[in-house]
Formats: sequence, C-alpha cells, structure tokens
Amino acid sequence: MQTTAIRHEREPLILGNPTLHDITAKIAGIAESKPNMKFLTALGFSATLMAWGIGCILYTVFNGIGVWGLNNPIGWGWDITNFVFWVGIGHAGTLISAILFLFRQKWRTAINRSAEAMTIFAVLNATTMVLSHTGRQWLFTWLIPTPGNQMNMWTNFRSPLEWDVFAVNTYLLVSLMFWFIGMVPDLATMREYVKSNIAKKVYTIFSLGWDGSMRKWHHYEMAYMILAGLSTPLVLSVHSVVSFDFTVGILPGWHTTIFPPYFVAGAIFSGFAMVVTLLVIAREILDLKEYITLKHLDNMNKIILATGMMVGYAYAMEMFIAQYSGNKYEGFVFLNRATGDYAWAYWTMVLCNVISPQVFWFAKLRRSIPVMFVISIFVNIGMWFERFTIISTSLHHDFLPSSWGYYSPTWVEVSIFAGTFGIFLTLFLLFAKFIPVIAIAEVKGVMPNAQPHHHHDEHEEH
Amino acid sequence: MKRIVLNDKPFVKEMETYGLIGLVIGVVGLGASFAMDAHSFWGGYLLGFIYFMGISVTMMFFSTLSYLVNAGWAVAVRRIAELYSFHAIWAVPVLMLPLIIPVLTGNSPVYSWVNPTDAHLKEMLEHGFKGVYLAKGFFIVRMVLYIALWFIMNRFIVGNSIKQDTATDITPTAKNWKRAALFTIIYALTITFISFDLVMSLEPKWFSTIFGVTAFAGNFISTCALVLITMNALKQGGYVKGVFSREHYHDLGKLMFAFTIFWTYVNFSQYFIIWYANIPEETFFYDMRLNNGWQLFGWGSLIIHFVIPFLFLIRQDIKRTPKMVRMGALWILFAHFVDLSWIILPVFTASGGEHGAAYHLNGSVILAGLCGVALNGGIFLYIASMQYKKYPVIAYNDPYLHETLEYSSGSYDRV
Amino acid sequence: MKAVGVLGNFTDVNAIVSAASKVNEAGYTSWDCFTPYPVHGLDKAMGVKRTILPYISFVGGCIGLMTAIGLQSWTGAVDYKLNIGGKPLFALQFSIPIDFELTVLVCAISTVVGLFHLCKLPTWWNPFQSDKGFAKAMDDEFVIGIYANDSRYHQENVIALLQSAGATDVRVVHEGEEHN
Repeated sequence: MQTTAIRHEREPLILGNPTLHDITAKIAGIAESKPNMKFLTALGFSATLMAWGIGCILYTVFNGIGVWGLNNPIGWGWDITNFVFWVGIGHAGTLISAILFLFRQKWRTAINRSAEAMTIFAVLNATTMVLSHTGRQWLFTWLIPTPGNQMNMWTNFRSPLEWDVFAVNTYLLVSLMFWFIGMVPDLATMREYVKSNIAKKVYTIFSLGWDGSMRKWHHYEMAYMILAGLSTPLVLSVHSVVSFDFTVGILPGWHTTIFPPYFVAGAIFSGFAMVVTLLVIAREILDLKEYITLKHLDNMNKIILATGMMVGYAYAMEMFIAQYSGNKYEGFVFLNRATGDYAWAYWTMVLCNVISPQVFWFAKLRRSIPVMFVISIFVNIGMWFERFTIISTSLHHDFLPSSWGYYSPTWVEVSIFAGTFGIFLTLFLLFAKFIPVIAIAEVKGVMPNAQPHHHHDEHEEH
Repeated sequence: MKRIVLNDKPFVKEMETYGLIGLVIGVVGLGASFAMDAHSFWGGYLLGFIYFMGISVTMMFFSTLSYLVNAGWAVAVRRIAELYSFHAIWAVPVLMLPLIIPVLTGNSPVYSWVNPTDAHLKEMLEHGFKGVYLAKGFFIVRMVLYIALWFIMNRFIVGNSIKQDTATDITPTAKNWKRAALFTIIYALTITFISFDLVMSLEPKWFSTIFGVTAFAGNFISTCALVLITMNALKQGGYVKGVFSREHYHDLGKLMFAFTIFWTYVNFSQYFIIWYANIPEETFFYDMRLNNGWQLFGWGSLIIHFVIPFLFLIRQDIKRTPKMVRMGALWILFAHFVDLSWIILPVFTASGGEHGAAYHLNGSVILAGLCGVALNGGIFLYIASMQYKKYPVIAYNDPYLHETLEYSSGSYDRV
Repeated sequence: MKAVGVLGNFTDVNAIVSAASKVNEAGYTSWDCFTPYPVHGLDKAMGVKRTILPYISFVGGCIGLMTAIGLQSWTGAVDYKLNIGGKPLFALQFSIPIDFELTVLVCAISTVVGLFHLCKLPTWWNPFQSDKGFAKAMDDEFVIGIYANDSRYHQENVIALLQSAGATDVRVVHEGEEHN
C-alpha cells in the first residue's frame, strides 16, 4: 500500500483499548450490579414527578381543558408547545442511528442505543401531550380511520392534524422496531452473561433465540440498512408534517415555506442538546467514560453548533422575507415578535439558540463537560421558547385588533409539562439499568482489528 | 502518492476543445437569438449564467464542507472540485456585467422592478422594505460584495489546499479546518441572497423563505454530478491510479441520491404549502408556470429531477458501477437545466399585459437557454482546463489522503 | 446418543474467514459460523447468497402506498363526500403526507416480518446450545459449526478439516449432553 508523506491519525473511538470480552463484561455488567443510592434517588425523584404529572393529566381529563389557561385568540398554548418540543427531542436519536449509519460515521456506535431510547420516550411524551389536549380524550379512536365513528363519518384526511396522527405513530412504531432489532444481538449477549435465573429467562425470551449465526447476520445487516434507509426520510417527514400544522394555514408567522426544513434542523438541534445533557450524566453515573468519550461529545457539540446556525439562518430568512414580501400582516407579526408582548420569549429564544452555541467554535469549550452541560440546557430552553414564540405570537395578535389577547399557563399545564420530564427520566433510568446502554455488537465491530484484513486485489474492479 | 499534473495530456486538451466548442455555439446561438427575439436572448443568457455561477461557487463549498466534516474519503476528489471553482472569480464578475449594468442605467430588460410598469408593484416598491432592498445602488453593492467574498473564499480555502501540496507540515490544512466553518456560513448567505437577487426578483412580487435552500439543493447535486463525471474521466484516461475506487463512485452516488431527495423535499415543501394555503399573492408563481405549456417543465422536472434519478440511483449496484452512475450524473446535469429553465425562463415568455398576463412556452426561449448554457459552460470548461494544466489533480500531500487510499484498497472497515 | 455436529472455536477474526472459505470449498451445505458481531466478508467467504429481504420490503412499501391512496380517495371522494373548506374531495397533493407515512410504515413492518421469517426468529433453541464453548460466540470468540445432517458429514473428516483450518478445541456435540 502506498503511504503519503504527511499523515494525520484520528483519535480512537473507544479509550483504554479493551478486549472484546471487556466490552461484554462492562456493558452487560451494568445490569448485574446492584442499583446504588444515586440511582435509586434519581429514580424515586423522577417517578414522583411522573406520578404528579399523570395526576394532573387525569385532573384535566375529568375537568376538561378549561383548567388550562387557553383563551379565545390563543387556542394552542403549552400543550402544543410541549408536543412539538418532545417530538423534536426525538429526532437526534433517529439521526444518530439512521443518518450517521448511512454515512458510515463510526462514532455513532457508542451513543446510538441511548439516543434511540430517548427518541422513543420523547415521542411517547409527545403523544401524551397531544392526546391530553383533544378535550374528550376517551374518543381517541376517532383519530384513526375506523368505520362506525360518529354518524359513520371518516377522519378528515384534508386536515394536517390527521397527518400528524399518522406521522407521529409511524415514527413511534418504526423507531421501536429499529431499536428492538438493533438490540436483539445484545440481548442474546446478556442472556449468556447474566447469572440470575429470572433475568436469564427474560433476556432469553426477548433475544428471540439469537445465536450469532452468520447466515442470520447476513439478513440482519440488510434489515438494519433498510430500516436506517426508511428512518432517514421518516425523520425528515415527521417534523415537516408537524410544521404543516402551522404552515398550511394562512396565519402570518405560521404560513411560511421554510418551516419544514427549519423545524427539522431545530429538532435535531434540540435533540442533540438533550442527548448531551443526559449522556454527560449517564457516563458519570455508569462509569462509561471510556466508551462515551470526549470525542463523541465533541462531535455532538459540533452538530449542535451546525444546526444552531441553520436555525439562526431560518430566523433571519423569516424576518427578511416578512419585510421583503410587502405584506403588512407578515411584516407586523415579525416586528411584534421582536418588540411586542412576547418579546421576552423571542429574545430568550435568540439568546439560547443562536448566541449561546457560539461558544462551541472553540475546541476547548466543546470538550469541557461543565460548559457543554450548561449550553445543552440553554439550547433546550431556547428550543422550547422557539415553539412557544411561534405559537403564541401568531395567535395573540391576529387580524382583528379587537380580539387581541395574552396567554399565561395555569399550574395544571406547568405540572403536566414537568410530569413529562418525569416520564422521560423514569423510562430512561429503567432503560439504562436493564437494557445494554451501549450497542455491544456494534462497538465490537468497529474496534481496531475487529474486522478481517482484506488484500488489495480482492477489491479491484472487475 | 505522486504529484500528478496533467500539463497537456489529452484530458486537458479535450476539456479545452469542448470549452471552445461550447463558446462558439453559445456566441453564435445567442447572437442569433438576440437578433430574432431579445426576450429569449436575455432568458437564455441569465439561465446559462446562473447555471455555472451556482455550480462554480458550490464547488468551493464542496471543498469547504469536506474540510469541515473531516471526511477521509472526500480528500481524493476534493481537488477536482477546487479546480472548477476559478470560474466564480474569473468569469462570473465579467459575465455578470450585462445583467447589472442595465440595472444601473435604469432600463433592465431582465428585472421588471428596475423600471416598474405595474402599478401595484410600483406602490410596493415605493412604500416599505422591498423598495429599500431592491434599490439600484444597494443591488450593485451586494453584487460587488458577493464577488469579493467568493474571491476571498477561493484564495483562502482553495489556495490553502494547493499550498498543502508543497508544505512540510499540516499547517495549511489545519488552517482550513478552522476556516471552513466561517466560509460555509459565507457560502450559505451568498448563495441565498444572490438567488433572491438574480432569480427570485424576476418575479418581484413573489416571495418564499425557502427559495435559497432550493437553490442550494439544485446546485449541490449538480456539483456532485460534475465531480463524479470528472473523476470518472480521470480514472478511465488512466491519469490517476489507485486513488479512485468503487467506494468513491458509491459515495458520490449516495450524495447525489440523498440530495435528489433533499431537492424534492424542499421543492415539495414550497409547492405544498403554497398549494394548500392558496393565497393569490403566492399561488400565481405556480399557476403561471403550470399552464400554457410550461407544465411540461413543471411536472416534467418532478419526473426528471426526482422519479428517474431516485429509481435509478436507489440501487447499490448502480452506484458502484462507474458507467451507470456516470450516466446518472449526466442525467442530473440535464435535470438541473430543466429545473432552472422552469424557474427562470417563463418570465421571458410573458404576453397579454398586466392583468391577463400569461407565460407561453415557446421553442426559441428554450433554444436560447441551451445556447446560454453552452456559452457559460464553454467558458467554465476553458477556465477549468487552465487549472488542470497547472495544478495537481489530487491533493497528494493531504494529511488524510492515506485514509482515502486505504479506503480504496478495501481495508477501510465499514460500519 | 446422536451427534448434533462438530464445533470449532477461533479467536482470530482473519482465521475464521479463511476457515469458512475452506469449509465452503469442501462442499458442506449444512453448517454455520457464529460470531459476536457481523464480520465483513465472512458471508461471502461462506458462499451465502444475497438476501431477498429488499424485495419483501419493496412489496410492503407498494402495499402501503396503495392502501394510503385507496383509503384517502375512497373515504373522502366515494364513501362519504363532505365539503370541507372548499378543498377538493380528494387530491394527490394533500394525500402525500399520509401516502408517505403509510408506505414507510408498511415497508418497515414487512422488513421486520421478513427478517423474522428468513432468520426463523423466534427459535428459542439451537442444537449446539448445550455446549459451553458455543456461548462464547456471544462474547469474544468465533465458532464454526458443521451439522451432522450434512450429506457429506463424516465425523473424522470434519474434525480434521476444522483442525487443519486452525480451530482450537474442536469437539463433537451430542444431543442433550452438557459439554465443557
């Protein structure tokens, strides 16, 4: 093989040069170990939060959504803000597991499992939010085209809200399948590793009798690639369809053509921020610093910076075109965002989403745990405010000045939102304890010397 | 890895010849078009200008992006893109003059906002931000600014990449790693605003926030296609051995495939949102371009720019077969022509006055479009041939080139 | 006691690839490699034919697309016509989001169902599972197993073949026996 005069070698993906068995023992060992006090405290806290949130959802179900702060011009408030927020959080997982897979980014292997888990839990939260705002939640089957609904009517396929039903559920189901298929070989490893009988039985059932047969791996790899290929456009479509909820109407500030890609970029942005927040904690508690290295976090921070710039680009385009269009309603809505009643929300959004990630230009700060932890939380706050700004500013001052208004949430809405974090964290902690938190087989496959060395002539064209 | 400079190898000669042929066809064709129908001439001229302006600037972005994401495989083809980028700083400033001088003198045959006859448009320009943005002076300032920024981008990114060839350490490359992000932003802003200025303002009343993104998508996919075609020519001519492999065809094919979908996605977003909301101030753009013959290009580009490349490039074996994927790349260059024609040319076929205005597809504007592309393409190739004569076609001293070579030899493990 | 087949373990990934091509060249058909992660090129060395899974997925995608268009046009424009906001009863334009989602959904489901079918999942047992060394394939070793039901199976030849290919711990596995 030819060599070049100047070479630059990359950082290793996994530090400490573990053997294949070390990897098994490390990751599978997490499930074997007794949960420590830190873990139990965290679980207790998040389960309480979850219970409180679910209580408040039930309170809403029994009393109606009148217990929320929604009013006449502002018919969507925290409910839809939270829905869009949680759907967005999910996007990083699919991006890491599908798009980075197709682009052969090997660094994804250490983080894809946990990011995918976050996707699923986040989308569950989104579904919870959107179901809770439907008013008569027990009639949820009316969202699905089933014969024999009220007066034999069908669902309205012309409505973007119906597209959402399909988009979000497809996303949830496909993500679940992708996650589970990716996990089967690791569950088989767990089956062989764990000592306790009950655990062995459970892992045996869920690993479906996977035996590592190469003939099966052959089909498996193809299935994984197809699912990755399907998830890639799917992840673009989900937030695009969510954006259609706003854009296909004619409300100034909602009806703008850049929304679909802008929503997707924002979703990836917030999703990665959430992944960084949680992984910074998880690698500490589970002692995974050699697996989830600074290089991984560095790469994710770069993506946060890049998508943050895209979001900034979209803010600029919206503002520019609103003025350029010559449409006075468009022009007004955007000036009102920056200077009106909700200016505080708008500038919080700009500060958190556009200004704060700028610190990631510096490699040193990208690799500083405290800095990235703080910034990732800023980004999540900023992205929540982005959705809030979009929803409330366009609604509170609509075409008729006589019906202008202002909206503040009640304690119920705040509690439900807090509760969704409880659901998310509880599920994530349980996942981190019982399911291999790192994709064992995939990490093994990208270790140095894990793959056979090919000879040059094998790959010549013929 | 050796330093490979082509000097006057047949590859360069051919490029030169094709360039001159294109130039002659373009000059003769556009001259005839000008004599017969000045409207068509201007449409064709603008179309050709936008086509290669977009590609040459995006070539610089291709280089910047590969520094930014540190892609090992792209090192092998990066120089191909870089050598094409000189069109943006040598030819674009000159070719732009016929478009912007009339703006300055206040009687543009291309841009109706310079001297508006439409009363509504006149009013919009007099009150509000549109008139501020589309003021003649500001317009010229922006054009100068774009050119200046591209000039800097070419000197810094491409110039540094060439400097690495003779460097003894990785300083030039390391500088580019740092600069890449800034120039990516510069690229994003310049390509967005120049497409607003030169293309979107053809319909001065129309507006779309996604327009810059759609322009980028079309440019990027054709850039990848042209890089692939050139890579194939270099490999088939036997000038470069052991660098380009099936993996590179596969990767460029994947990029083309992905960006075909991206192009469709952003164009669909624009169309769908406007179709569904159905506000007259936006829908007229589509309405006028999907009637009177132009629907042939409108719906045609859906088939030509999406369905066909999608079904063709989805197959892995096609992406890995040089002949086939090269055919796909050529097709994409054609599809880009159809796409741009549909956006740009209808304006130059307007008839029927202010209210009953309609765009009628005619043959002469399409012929002028083809001649415009030939003219600009000829200049583009001729300028490129001068670079290929001078500079190595592989960034042979790049610190990541060893990865791309290992990659070619198959020892690069895949996930 | 009936023999299930012969197992041989490898610790080096290059060794199992060359061993696999030897077994393949020797003409065995009822055999397999067991690995902790997919080893690139091993399927080729074993002579595994390209999987038909993409075709199953493709058919699934087509079914999804047709279902989506059929459902939306029939419910909206045939079964229960209802004018909502002056929008057409059915138009391809507004059906696209759901067309896409159902195509992806049915395609993904058929991929998973196809995978289960092709891999015969779930099968909660493997004839070799009584062997302790076999489980190492879930951890850090690579195992070749040649089943006794292969038409060319002769115990001594098989053992000799695996040993010559560099396997350590070549052993015969019998039904229902606990092996170490």
